[in-house]
Order: sequence, then C-alpha cells, then structure tokens
Amino acid sequence: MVTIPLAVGQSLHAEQLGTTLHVIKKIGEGTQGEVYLVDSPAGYQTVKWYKPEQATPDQRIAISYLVRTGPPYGAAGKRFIWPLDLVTAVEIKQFGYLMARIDTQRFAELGEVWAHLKPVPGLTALCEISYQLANSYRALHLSGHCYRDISAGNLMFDSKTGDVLICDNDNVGINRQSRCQVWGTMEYMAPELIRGESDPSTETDLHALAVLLFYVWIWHHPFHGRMEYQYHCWDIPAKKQVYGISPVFVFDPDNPANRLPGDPDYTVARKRWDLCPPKLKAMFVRAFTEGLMNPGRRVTEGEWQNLFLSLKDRLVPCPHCRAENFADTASPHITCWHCHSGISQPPFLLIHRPGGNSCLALSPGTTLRSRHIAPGAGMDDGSQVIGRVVPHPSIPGAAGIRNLSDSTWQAVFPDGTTVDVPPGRAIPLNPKTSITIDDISCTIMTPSREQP
Amino acid sequence: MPSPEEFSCTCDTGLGWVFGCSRTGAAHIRARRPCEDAYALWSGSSGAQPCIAFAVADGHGNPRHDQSRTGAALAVDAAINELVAFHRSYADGNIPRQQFRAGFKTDLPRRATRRWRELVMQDEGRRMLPPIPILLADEQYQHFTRYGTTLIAALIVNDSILLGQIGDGDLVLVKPDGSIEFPLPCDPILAGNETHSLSSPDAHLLWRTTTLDRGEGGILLAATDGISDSFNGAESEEFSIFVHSLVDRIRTYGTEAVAAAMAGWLDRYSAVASGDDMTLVWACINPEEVQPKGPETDTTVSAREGW
Repeated sequence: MVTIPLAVGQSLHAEQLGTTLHVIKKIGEGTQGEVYLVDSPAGYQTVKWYKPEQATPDQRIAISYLVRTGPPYGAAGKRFIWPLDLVTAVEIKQFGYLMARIDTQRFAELGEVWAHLKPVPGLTALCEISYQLANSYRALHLSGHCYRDISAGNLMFDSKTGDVLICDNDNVGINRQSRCQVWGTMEYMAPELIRGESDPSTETDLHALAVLLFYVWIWHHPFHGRMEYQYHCWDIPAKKQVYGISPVFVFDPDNPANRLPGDPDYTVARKRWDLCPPKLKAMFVRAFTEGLMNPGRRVTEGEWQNLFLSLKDRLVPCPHCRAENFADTASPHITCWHCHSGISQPPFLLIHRPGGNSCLALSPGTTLRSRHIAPGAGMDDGSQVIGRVVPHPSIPGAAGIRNLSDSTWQAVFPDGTTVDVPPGRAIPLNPKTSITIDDISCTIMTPSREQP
Repeated sequence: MPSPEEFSCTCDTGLGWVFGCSRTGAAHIRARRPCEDAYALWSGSSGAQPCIAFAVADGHGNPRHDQSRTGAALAVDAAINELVAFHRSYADGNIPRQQFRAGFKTDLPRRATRRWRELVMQDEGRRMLPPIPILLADEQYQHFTRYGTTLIAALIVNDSILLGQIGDGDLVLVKPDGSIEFPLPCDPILAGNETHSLSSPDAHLLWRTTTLDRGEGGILLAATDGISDSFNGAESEEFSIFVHSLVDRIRTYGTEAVAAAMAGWLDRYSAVASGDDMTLVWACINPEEVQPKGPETDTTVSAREGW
C-alpha cells in the first residue's frame, strides 16, 4: 500500500488541543510512518503520520490512551518524546500524533557515534546516559507500562552531557495487557519472547534494556560471538537459535561456547570490555547468564541506575591526558587506560547512608549533590549541588569541599576538634575528617583505607 | 566478474531498472594505472519476492593500498552476496517490515565487512602476494589495508529501499517531483583527504545505513567521489545541476540512450575535471504497485542487445 505523503502547508488538526497545525516539511520516515515538521501555536513541533496499514483503530486507541495518561512523572518522564495529541486531517482516514521536536544537532544516535558522525561520549557521559535510560524505564515500568521495543534505534543522547531522549513512544502499552503492532527488534528480544512463550512485558523490557546498555558500553551485541560467526547464512532460524533457543553470553565466565573469535570485528568489543569496571562486568554477566532464562533474576532498572550513579561518582581525570578513569577505592594508584601514566587517586567521601555506604571521589571540581545524601528524596531528580571540591586559596595543591547547601554542616577533624561549616564555607580534605550533612555521616578517606 | 571498464549492465524486474558504468580516470590513464573502481548489479527473486541489488566501490589506490583494485572488486562481490542472502533470509517468512529493516541496519555492515575480509584472505592466499616495503602501523591489519576500499550497497525490494555505505562516494535519490535527497549523511572528513575504509579494524561500525519507503519510486544514483569531485563536491550547485540534467536526459531520451552515452560523458568529466576514476550506477525505481509496461520492456531489451 502506497503512502500518500502530507503536502507542505497542509493543515492538520490536534484533537484534544483543538489547534491547527501546518506542515512545513517531511523530516524523516520509518517503518510505521513519516515524520513531519509542523508549525503549531506552541512553535515548531513534529508529527508522526502513520502509514495506511499502521493507522488502525487499535493504534488510534493506543495513541489516545497515551495522550490521556501522559508520560511518567518528573525528570524521568521528560526524556520520553511522548505523544502530545492525536492528529487528524480533513477527508483522510490516516492519523498521527503530535510530539516535541528533537534537536538532532545536539542529540546523537549510537550509530552516528560509531560512524564518527557525532562525538564519542566520555565515561561520565556514558554513566549519565546509562543512568538516565535506567531511570526513565524504571519510571515507565512503575507507571504500569512496558515499552516493548527498547533498542538503540529509539535512543538519542547528548554526547557531552549524557542527556537522553527516548523516541517512538507509541509502542508503549499497559504491562501484559495491551495489544501492539510492534514486538521489538529481534536482537533485543528476550529469549522467551523469541520462542513464543511470552508476550512483551516489563520483564522482556529488562532484557532489552540490558542489551541496549551493553551496546552503549561495548558497541557489540552480547550474543555475537563464535556462534553467530559460524553461521554463513544469518537467516531467521539462525537468529532464533542465537538470540532465543540457545543464547550464550560472549563473556560468560563459565561457558566458553560463544567466546569472541579472533577476527578484527571483535577488537573494539574486546578493548571496551577490558575497560569496563568490575562491577559493571559483573552486572552484565548476571544479566546475560542467570537473567537470560530466568526473568526473575534479570537486573532491574533500579540496580542499573544505582550502579551507574556509583560508577560516575568514582571517575577521576588523568592529570596527564585528561582521560577519565574509574578510581579504585582499594588502591592508592591506578594506571590511565589512555596514556598509561600512573594516577595518584584523590581522597574519597565515604557516605554512610541507611541503605548502604557509597563513595564519591573528591577530585578538583567534583560536586556533591542532594542524591548523594538523600537518594530518592525530594521533588527533583537529586541533581541539586550541595557541595563542591575547590582549591585552597593560598596553598597550592591543597583542596577542600565547600558547603553550597542551605544548611550548616558539622565537621569533626581527626584530632577530635569539632567545627560548624556554614553555607559558603569550605573544610580541607584531610583524611579521617567526618562531616555530618543533614544527619548523614560522611568520612573523608584515602583510597587504600576505604571501609566497605 | 567482468572488468568494470568493458561493460555497462542492465537488469530489470517489476521494481525497475539499474544501469552501471565505470571508466578509468584520465589521471590514471596518464600514469598507466588501472581503474580502481568497481560496481556490480544483480536482480532476481527469492520466495517470489523480487529484488535489485547493486554495489559501488572505490579502491583507495595509493602505495599502501596496492591491491585496492582487487579490494574494490571483492567488495562489490561481498556486498551483492550479502544483500542477496539477506533478502533471501527474509523473503521466505512472514517477517514484519520493521524487523526486516532493522535487520538490514544491524546485520549488513557486520556481515558484508566480514565477507569482504574472507574474500581478501582467500585472494591473498591464492596469489601469494609479496610483502610491500611500506611499514604499516598495525601488522594485524596489513592484509586488509592493502585491499582498502570504500563501498556503497543498495537493495531495492517490494516496499523498501535499503542503503548502506562506508567511506566516501555519493548516494542521491531524485524523487518523481524532481527534488533531490541525500539519504545518508556525508562521510566525516578525515585528515589528509582520507576516507573510512572497509580495511579499518572497526569497519563494521563505520557504516552509515538507512531504509526508505519505495513509495513513488524515483532515480537512485550511486557514484564514486570522482564524479562529485568534478562538480566541486556533492553539496555544490554544479553537482545538483548535473544530477537534474542526468535525470532530465533519462526522461527525455530514455535510459538506454543515456546508458549508451554515459561512458563518453564520464571520460570527458574525468579529462576536464577530477582526473579520477568514475563509476556511476543509477536505478530507475518504479513506483510501488506499478508494473512496467510491456512495450518499454521490449525496447530496452533490444537496446541492451546492441551494446
């Protein structure tokens, strides 16, 4: 069935908003429809216009439902390019939906990064991208929905800041209830989905999220090893075998059946895996071993987001080449992955939270945020800066942490002296100094002496 | 595979027609160097689903890439093999279009690159090439560096046009209304006028891919950079004029006449402009659900016999 494109200048109607939209130009197309830039009372926005075969009554109901419910609450929800309204045109049976316009100069697709068309995100940005992804899907799942088509094709990110956008949200449906036209992309589909034993759900979303995170970090598919390499004909039965019937993680520590072959194709994946911190490797191993056939053992979004927040807190710049490195709290020195110089690690702030301890590397410029002290509390996403590591005004090389919050901190120095640290004041980063921030006790530690 | 210099090729299905022409550049002729471009065309069907596949490659052609002429030929061979295999793998089943297109984007770069490497290793083993004296930074990739080439691959099926590219060269779609689209972003500019290559260790990541609706059809052009370089680059007004005039000539004089004249045109562009090898493949894609008319088919077949 041939799609009849919308004409430039054509008027469209936003059903709930009651506004008129004018088509400016076509800016993209996908399997389900075409995307147009439109002029609306709210400024430039975009409309996804379904192809005739996709513009079904079910899809119309689904879009109306999404418009009615809105995106998940808070910062996590704002990352979804959510359907804002159902869009129709006079005397045309097709329909579409209105959504925000994406700044494609700023936001990149993963493939654009691979092809060197957009900058490669650094480790801080990678942690932020991964955190935001997990955080957003957590919010979506908590709202009772599943995405059903998590893949790199629906992810865009800012390589500098790590800000994420999640596109094509018309696939979102009620967990285990909604009918849908999209069952995901096969390489992201959970094994039970490929085998036809299950419908799309939050559990199958968790598998797809793990595959996507693996792509983001390793630039490779977790099951593309010897098994895929040996298939001369990479057809649907072969894919079902590798992704669904007998999937084996390429870095499975106990099962060498699907190791990476020696072909140059795998050099990048091998290098990037080697650069991953042990905790991230362990999480991927769990996701693609225990979690493969046992959906209940899959890594949850909450586990992912906690991991990436903690990893981000351990990043330190190499003083020689400025490359970011993951600090090792058990050793005073690490070797830069990029220039191989030795790095003397900064002190850490060990934060004794009720839910468990966490660490923050105190490099120059490091920010202490509200989430470090009270994760999950408050109306914001925990990004409020409450402290920053600053250089001493007169002693070269010395640094302190400045109180940028509204409340006074209490500090206890190693000799037992107690002082108040009011907003705007800083205290030096002396090891074993304890700081109480909003009733949470923190201790400045040297790397080798960190307490678990 | 025939030498690209000796053949202009056609093929037809209900999807449309595709033609190709490759010429040794004027500078290459003066330097007694062969044409280092290659192209390949294929048409057929799997599971009663027709498809057209074509590929264009441009060997890098400097002393580090002393086998790039062969590398380009192997690249178009690998691309056609993988495109056809990909089409076959999906044609037999009732696979949703979304998965078909997603599969192309994720699989073709990896599979075509791997197939090319296999062919290179076979060729090198068969010919037992002497080592080249130029020291290469990474010995592991020396085999492939010698064969370095770009590659453009296209697959036209019932409802979709699937495109992939690594390195420079131009893909241009001229819509029936005359508007010009560049379906893929330009190759990022590298230092020293270099381009991304199939011989790169991370070649499978360097591809740009896209999928389009076949829709109303149009004329899809794939060219090595020798052509756009003759017109001050693909984004220049001159290149746009060239594309429009080519499409106008196809519409006015017919595809056969244009195909017959193409070699002379390319020779002239190379002589007066870039001097580089020139390869152009153009596909006249029928609108979706519109079958070619009988008389036109007859005319074209007779024209082809005369070549």
